[in-house]
Amino acid sequence: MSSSLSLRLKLAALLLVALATLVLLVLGLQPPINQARLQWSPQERAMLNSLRLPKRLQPRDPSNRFLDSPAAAQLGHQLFFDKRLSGAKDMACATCHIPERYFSDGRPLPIVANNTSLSELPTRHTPTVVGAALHRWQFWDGRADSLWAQALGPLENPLEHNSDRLAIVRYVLNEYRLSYLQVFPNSEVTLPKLERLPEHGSPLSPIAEYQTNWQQLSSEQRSEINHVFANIGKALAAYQAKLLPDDSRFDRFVDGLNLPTDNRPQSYLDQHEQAGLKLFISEQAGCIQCHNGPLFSNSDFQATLSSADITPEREGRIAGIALAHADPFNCRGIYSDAPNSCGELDFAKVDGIELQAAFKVPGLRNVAKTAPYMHDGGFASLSEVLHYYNQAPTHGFSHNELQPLRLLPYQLKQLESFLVALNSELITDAYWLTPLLPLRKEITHEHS
Amino acid sequence: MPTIKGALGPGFQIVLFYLLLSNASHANDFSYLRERDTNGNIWEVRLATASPPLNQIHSWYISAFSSEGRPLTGLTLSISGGMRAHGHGLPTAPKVSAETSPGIYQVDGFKFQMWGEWQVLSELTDQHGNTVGSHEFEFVLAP
Ligand code: HEC
Ligand code: HEC
Repeated sequence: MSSSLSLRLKLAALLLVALATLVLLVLGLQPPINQARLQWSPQERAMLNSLRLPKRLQPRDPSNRFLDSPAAAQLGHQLFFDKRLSGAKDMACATCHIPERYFSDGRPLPIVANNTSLSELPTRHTPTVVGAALHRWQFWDGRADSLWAQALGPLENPLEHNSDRLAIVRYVLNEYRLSYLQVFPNSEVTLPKLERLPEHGSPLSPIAEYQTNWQQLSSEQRSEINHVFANIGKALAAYQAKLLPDDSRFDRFVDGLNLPTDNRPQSYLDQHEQAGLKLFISEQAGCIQCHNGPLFSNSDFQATLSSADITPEREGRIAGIALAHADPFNCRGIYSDAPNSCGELDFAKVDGIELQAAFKVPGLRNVAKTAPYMHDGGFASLSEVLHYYNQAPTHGFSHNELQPLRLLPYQLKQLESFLVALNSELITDAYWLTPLLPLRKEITHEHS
Repeated sequence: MPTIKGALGPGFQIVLFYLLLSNASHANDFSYLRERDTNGNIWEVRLATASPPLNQIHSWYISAFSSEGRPLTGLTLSISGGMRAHGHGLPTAPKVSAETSPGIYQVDGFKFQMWGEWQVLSELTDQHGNTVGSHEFEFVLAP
């Protein structure tokens, strides 16, 4: 009797332990015991290699032949940090793309120009510009098809620099005349004769007078001004093309795996991070579908519908591609340096449900440094993002490319720890990360 | 074996026979590929690279010949496709830029933005809109 009772007790105890383990598992507090070293199949290794940063990152843009010009980058460097480029002299690119914050701003939505007359507020979160030169489309909706066309947007955007084309061109040709002429020799295009032009003018300005000023210019004058304006964008692009990520622990891990004796990779990613990586490239989590290639972005537009506050028919890629086609500063336009090689623009889809509410897939290198997340800054942390992927609600729209993942909490933690392992320095020399010293500015002034 | 439903009107189905390619659905290398449709037309796809590059605009050279080896020339080639498993189409709208020689069509603007199984449907129509030939090419894009 007593022996069968103790057996029953033992059984009950065992059951309890089993139950407790199960509960722990389900709660995701503990990953299943997995101390053995993770194995990587040839397919997985190939996938890892496809994510590794190339040894030499080479941004390319045929439509901007100054992209590699050191002098253009110098000029762009100065402009990027120069608040006087803005309407109220209060806003530089670096005000929102803050070097110490990996060139993002740490806010859900950006601050607004002081002098703006608009009552509407920004709706798009500030993305980093590190690695932007490697993307084929700019902005969350891809309404610019190059980095230089992109740069022209904020300058005239009433919520951002809130200046106007004539004021910007005048300012740069006065303040940076020498640098400008060094990069863009005068021989090709005649410079606008500023003394004969009004102070302000732009076809896009919300101020009626500025619009009228612009309309009253001759088409020749407009094109001269536009040329300088485009060149300002090209210099800003040349500068930003220098802002590129360096190898992360993930990249070193991949290198280690490629060595014949792979003892070293373990020291670059711990078991937890490796498990996260395995999930990341797995069919189950599917992150790799969209976050592929060395930037962890396919540079394309996908509908993941994390925000309920949009009108899918009018927002996202569907709007962006129409704007890109209409942009006089696009690859096909007369200010482009390669109007005949515009494959991305020429073959981009312009309609279809897949473009609705579709936003650019952000790269994930250093993503841990750029909270909050998504086009609307709607998620405060990586764990919120992953929680979303795990549920993937549909908001009743017809097209969402995500399926709820239903991963366990410990798996979400693994994914998150892997994302953090994508942190790295920049390859960029520190010289480029701060405004030029005032001394240098004075030198420029003397010459101008 | 892939089938095409609906593309050629109700009830019409074409089953593709893989000629030279042993296992097309696992093919990673199709720098040169030849397949036959049920009408006997012979389709070839050639690329400049061994397999399509990920995330890059590139061209395909698609050629179509009748079973007797006559080029299917002077026709309109239209391209569609996507990832059936994910329920989405091609990310771009590829277009024929030229019939480089009789029966060989240069199609520009292909792009594949995800790893995985893709379908590309080519359809040749005459000036009256009648389908002369149709072919679905299925492949797995893998690193
Ligand atoms: C007021 C804040 C603010 C200022 C100033 C600003 N930006 Fe931005 N930037 C943003 C926001 C917000 C977005 C996203 C807008 C969108 O997609 O609609 C953005 C997008 C970008 C992008 C696209 C990145 C990508 O991955 O799509 C680049 C590049 C960029 N900005 C560069 C610049 C440059 C160059 C300047 C200076 C001329 C500048 N920005 C000034 C807030 C700002
Ligand atoms: C169907 C394509 C797709 C898949 C699959 C996908 N993502 Fe994303 N991801 C996107 C898009 C598009 C955005 C931006 C969405 C937006 O701004 O509304 C994004 C945003 C993110 C962000 C925020 C980045 C930032 O800077 O704001 C993170 C982090 C992220 N994804 C991680 C993941 C992980 C981890 C997985 C796998 C569990 C995954 N994604 C799967 C397309 C995808």
